[in-house]
Amino acid sequence: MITLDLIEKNQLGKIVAIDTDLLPLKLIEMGCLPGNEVYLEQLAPLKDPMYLVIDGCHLAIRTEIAKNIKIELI
Amino acid sequence: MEIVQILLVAASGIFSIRFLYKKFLAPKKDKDCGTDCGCH
Amino acid sequence: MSKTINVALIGNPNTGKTSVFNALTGLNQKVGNYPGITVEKKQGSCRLNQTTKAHIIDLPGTYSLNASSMDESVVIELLLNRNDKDYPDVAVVISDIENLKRNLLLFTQIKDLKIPTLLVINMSDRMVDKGISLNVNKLEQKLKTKIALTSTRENKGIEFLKTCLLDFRSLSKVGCLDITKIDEAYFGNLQKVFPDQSLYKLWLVISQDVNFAKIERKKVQDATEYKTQPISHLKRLQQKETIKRYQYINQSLKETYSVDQSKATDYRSKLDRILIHRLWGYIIFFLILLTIFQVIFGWSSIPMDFIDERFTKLSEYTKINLPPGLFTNLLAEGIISGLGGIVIFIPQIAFLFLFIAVLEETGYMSRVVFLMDRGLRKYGLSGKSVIPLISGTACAIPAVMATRNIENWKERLITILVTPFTTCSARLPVYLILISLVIPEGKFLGMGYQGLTLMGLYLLGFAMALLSAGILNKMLKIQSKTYFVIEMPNYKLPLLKNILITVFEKTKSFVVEAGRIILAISILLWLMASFGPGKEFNQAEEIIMSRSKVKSFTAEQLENEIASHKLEHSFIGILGKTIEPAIAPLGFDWKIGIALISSFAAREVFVGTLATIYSVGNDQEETIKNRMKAERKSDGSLLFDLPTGISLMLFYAFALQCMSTLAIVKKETNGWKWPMIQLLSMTLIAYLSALIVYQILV
Repeated sequence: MITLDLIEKNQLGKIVAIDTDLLPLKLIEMGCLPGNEVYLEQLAPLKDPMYLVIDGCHLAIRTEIAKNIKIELI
Repeated sequence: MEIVQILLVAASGIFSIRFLYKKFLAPKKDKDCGTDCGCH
Repeated sequence: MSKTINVALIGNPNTGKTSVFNALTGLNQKVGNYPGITVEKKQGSCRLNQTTKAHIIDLPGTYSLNASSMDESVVIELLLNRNDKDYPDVAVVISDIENLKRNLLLFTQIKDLKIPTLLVINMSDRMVDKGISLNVNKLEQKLKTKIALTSTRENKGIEFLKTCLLDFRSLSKVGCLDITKIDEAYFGNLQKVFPDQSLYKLWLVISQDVNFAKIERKKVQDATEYKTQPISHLKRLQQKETIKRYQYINQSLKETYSVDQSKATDYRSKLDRILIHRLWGYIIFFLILLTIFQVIFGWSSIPMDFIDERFTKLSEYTKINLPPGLFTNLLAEGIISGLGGIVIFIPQIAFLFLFIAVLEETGYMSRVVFLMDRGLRKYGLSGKSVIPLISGTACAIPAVMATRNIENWKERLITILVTPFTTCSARLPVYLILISLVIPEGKFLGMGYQGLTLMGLYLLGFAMALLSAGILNKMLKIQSKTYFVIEMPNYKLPLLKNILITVFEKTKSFVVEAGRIILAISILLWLMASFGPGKEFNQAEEIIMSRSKVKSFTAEQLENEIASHKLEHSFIGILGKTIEPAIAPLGFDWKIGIALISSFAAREVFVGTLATIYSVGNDQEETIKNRMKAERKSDGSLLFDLPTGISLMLFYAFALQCMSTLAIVKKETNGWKWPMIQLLSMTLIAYLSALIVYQILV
């Protein structure tokens, strides 16, 4: 199990746990929930922000937010 | 004719002042700001 | 008797909500007062049949009813306030076929408010490309609603949507989620305290930190047992609610919606690989900006000269054909010249709006946010500050409002404070006329000097915005959590109709807004320039005639001498002369001083003011540009030479000469503190930089 900021390009993972207190509700509403798949599409220079596909939803978040999401690689 | 012209000029002057006053100086009702504006 | 029903369009951003709005209303729209992107609600009307009209409100795009930013709270404020005159009879939730699942989250929330709700599934033309199949009838049953499958691109389904709207009374008002299931103890208790209230509405009021419905909120807070609930507990409940909603949605979509990945084509990833590439991405962005400025300048001169000439002719015609008198003079010298000063800039402003609309419509703007976020963070800004900074090139007012979707207060405040440095369209007229006066024609690497100067001024505006953001970032001690989430929508070919409507509406509102101000100021200026106190003004003829040097003058020279003596001693002349000592070190004379004073309210009146001042009492009909070109200093050299021109452009680049911006900043920051700091510091920067540059160049 790793945190989401460590995922590498073109890797697929599955969200295991999220820290609700530190995540914006909007992210949760966009599908960032345990059990959903996450895929790293692209990284901006300096690896920040991250362009992810979470449960079919294309979005970008900053690395510091991604640290609060635990995933399992598949 | 002369007098009509002068009246027209005076009217446009008054309208301009009234318009600019309303646009920029008259107090406007402000809506409340939202949640994250740091003022709470 | 015709009756009207209120229809609210609600939906996630990027679902084509505006296209549906445009398809329904056409040009029957009332957009906000300011050009640029619309953050407040838009309104329009649409005839449904002989007897029924729909009043359509296009609400800002939102992902959910849980507002995380200010523009989203506009939606909740309306939907929770039954007494609002725009409170909808029917809510239309717009979704897009590809992101149906996420879009339905908002749908279930709206439906739980017990408002009759209709679901529009837009972009149905993409179903084949994306391998999507959908069982509409079954989904209607599952979601207990009516579904209109539309494609605004192919203009399909809009008529059907209209018939559905007519039939809104038959829509089911049954909610989607039994909210007590989230936490039976908590919600059971809540219902006991407020037995006659809708539980979901109560929950929204409790869980939001938004200012809507103050009274209602107070009532809830007075029931002390709920005040004690910590935010983290509420948030956990919200998360639970979201999970429950997704369970319901997944259940509904399971048998009705499927995607065959093997048939899907994905050009989003391919385009993203280039457009947000760590090197190519930036190069492409820069090239796009370069093209925009070159086009605005390169394509502008022909219509500009044409319009300038027309207005000169019109002024001449007025003077000849109307009965002579005071009002005819006002018309010819004040009003027509003043209005000409704005009308000649319509082509460029329309081009600018066109480019911004295309960048937004295609989905490219989100990529720029992605590319810029890391770099801008160093300056205390967010990637999302890019949207205000870019749309600030149209107008700072909507740009300041567009900061509302920045979640972090410190980043938002800094963005608001520095946005007025970006070159707004009101500066464009000033730059264009000054550049054409002082910058030589000629080319460098295929780009005209004049176009390059214009681009330089835009870059200077951005650079100054960044620099001051960096300083503010160091100075401001505000602790704020960072919440940066941005959707990367699919790329779309812009719809010509959408673009044209946007450009038309925004150009129109710019011209009407600015035109009215300019008209009023021109009239006042003309009055102040045509009258004056004391005998210097009223007996100008005798004074000039008594001077010995005029003996050798021709009749025409004599007339000019009298006219300029009169202007100098008119009310406006006295005003200009008073501030001349303060602005002379910047290379400005008292006539430019008058333009500075009048453009304090709105900088776009600069050209109009000069046009009015130069034409008062002047019988030679000339274009604005030629009049400015002919102006001389007391030593006989050109007034608008390179040092004065550059100094003036710098002053306009940095000074905050816009009352409307001050008003909106006051509104968005809730007080006079920040707009005053902004006004003083920007004026100081403008004065000092113009001073330094003029003293070096001259």
